[in-house]
Amino acid sequence: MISVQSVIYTYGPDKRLAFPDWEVEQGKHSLILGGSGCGKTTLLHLLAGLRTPTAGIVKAAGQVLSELGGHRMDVFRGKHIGLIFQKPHLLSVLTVEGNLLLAQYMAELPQDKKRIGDVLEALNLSDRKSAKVYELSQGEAQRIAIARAVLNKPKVILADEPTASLDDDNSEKVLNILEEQANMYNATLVIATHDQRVKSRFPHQLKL
Amino acid sequence: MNLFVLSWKYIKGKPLSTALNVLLLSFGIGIIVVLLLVSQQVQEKLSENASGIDLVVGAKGSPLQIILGSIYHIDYPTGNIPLKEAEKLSKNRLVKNVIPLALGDSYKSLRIVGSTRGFADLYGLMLDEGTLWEDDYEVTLGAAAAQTLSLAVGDTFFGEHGMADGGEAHEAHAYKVVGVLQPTGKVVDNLILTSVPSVWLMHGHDEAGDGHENLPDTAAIEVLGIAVTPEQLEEKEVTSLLVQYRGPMAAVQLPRMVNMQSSMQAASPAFETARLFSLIGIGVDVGQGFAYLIIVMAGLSIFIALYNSLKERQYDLAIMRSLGASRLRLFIHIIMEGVIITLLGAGVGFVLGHGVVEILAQFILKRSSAGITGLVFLPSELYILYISLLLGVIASLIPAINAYKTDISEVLAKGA
Repeated sequence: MISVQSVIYTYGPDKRLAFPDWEVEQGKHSLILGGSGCGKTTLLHLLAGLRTPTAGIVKAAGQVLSELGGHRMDVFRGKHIGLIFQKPHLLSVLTVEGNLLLAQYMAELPQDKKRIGDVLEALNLSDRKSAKVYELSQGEAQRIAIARAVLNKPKVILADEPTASLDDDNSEKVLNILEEQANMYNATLVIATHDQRVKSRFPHQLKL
Repeated sequence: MNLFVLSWKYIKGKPLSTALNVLLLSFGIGIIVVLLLVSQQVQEKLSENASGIDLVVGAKGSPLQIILGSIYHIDYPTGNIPLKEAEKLSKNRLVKNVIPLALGDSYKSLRIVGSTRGFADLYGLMLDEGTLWEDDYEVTLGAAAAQTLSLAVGDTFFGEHGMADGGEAHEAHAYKVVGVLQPTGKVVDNLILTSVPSVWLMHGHDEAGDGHENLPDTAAIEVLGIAVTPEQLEEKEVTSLLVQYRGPMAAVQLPRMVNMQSSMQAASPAFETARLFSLIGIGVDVGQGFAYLIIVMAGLSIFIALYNSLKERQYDLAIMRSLGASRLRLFIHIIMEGVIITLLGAGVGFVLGHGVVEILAQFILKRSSAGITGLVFLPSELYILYISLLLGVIASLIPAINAYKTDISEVLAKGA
């Protein structure tokens, strides 16, 4: 489960964000909505342990994140939290398979090529396994990024504007895949977005 | 997947920049390796050839020239000394052994050295075939000399006056090869050895009127291992003397004695080779300084390449962190990249340096048989390896610290 309790985050001396308390049960897909600059990304990063709140308690995958520090937080994130961004951010020096092996390696999990094959198969990308990143189309690259996020069977999938740079067709596809994959691993999917196409998708929402 | 593979992929991803840095570093390291190999081996050869010789006595002149002419056989002798004085010196109580040398002739640029059996003992000469020189006009060839001249036992040749190619030939008498020596790796390999009287005889014919070379007096006496008549003892000359001391006191007294009380000049091989090497050393130091400058530039170039690439790679680094990599891992990842490049540069540099020395030894120094090779590894080369490792770490330290400090949240939010 995910929960946010009296969380405050301050950027420098004058910018202060206070987040409403929020709770998400395991497997209940949710949206974080709001215009740009209202703190969607900040909240998502707090949930991923990429930032530490100034005050309050953040729980993700049932774990109070502030209890973990440094390296333990990094490994926890690698194992239990899948992250997806507006752009795929694949490592261009590696192949598709290399990018996925990297996710297993960095999370300190055994490197399992069969698992990678299975995930690519599920996303209909088996033939792109040895492709270079620059050979991928935008939609393919975003699907590989999803594959990377779900590879380690995370409990939470956090997506920051995953559809913002995609057309309607691809946007629909990506959302379907995200939901399908999250369901497959019984992960909680949280999408931060201001994209109108996404708003009606999940009823459980947090408006900032 | 591991950090080494990951770092390697990034290095491979920028082949031109990598090639430039590796090349630059390998040049610097190559130069150092060449200087190290050559100076070390030259120094070794210098002292190897002088081993067993405590003092060289020749005609008045430059002591360095005496050493170069009589031990390394590269410079011209300073002149001749009377046999009479040589004999007096050999009787000195401080002297254990004296080996006379009669120089001045050559054959196809290879020097003909007149000496005694003492010379063969001093250098520990072993015969490959035939015998050592015995009678007049008999020569024994050094291994390299026999090869360059394509002469074998039984062949004859005419010596030439002077030490450069194209001197006037002594056509009255031919030398006869009676033996070939085993290779020693020393200067002797390039010499043509004969007896002192043979050299006298060759020149006796140039000096008209000196008529008794072929008629050794019945009352021959032995001086310095050479059988001479009392007349010859008064008249004849040798070029220089290789002297062995009897005790440590000789080192203090004998050179001064020779220089003050005779028409001869004493030169210490140890002192003169040290002086020679300090002269060469200046050149080596300049070369080394230049090489270190190139290495520093290479380090700087690696640093700049890494530093710039980090800006392009900030998302990659942030993604690695989001996938579970710790700060330390990114730090090691960047350091490893610097170290891999410098190790590559060092590897190429070692191959380059050894290759250049070996090619030099094979093709350019072949005839002089300086005994230099590129196929030896010196312990000091290990230091170069450490230095290049250190360079890799230093060059990548600041980029690695930057990678360590990357605020992933900020980078990811920016590129959202």
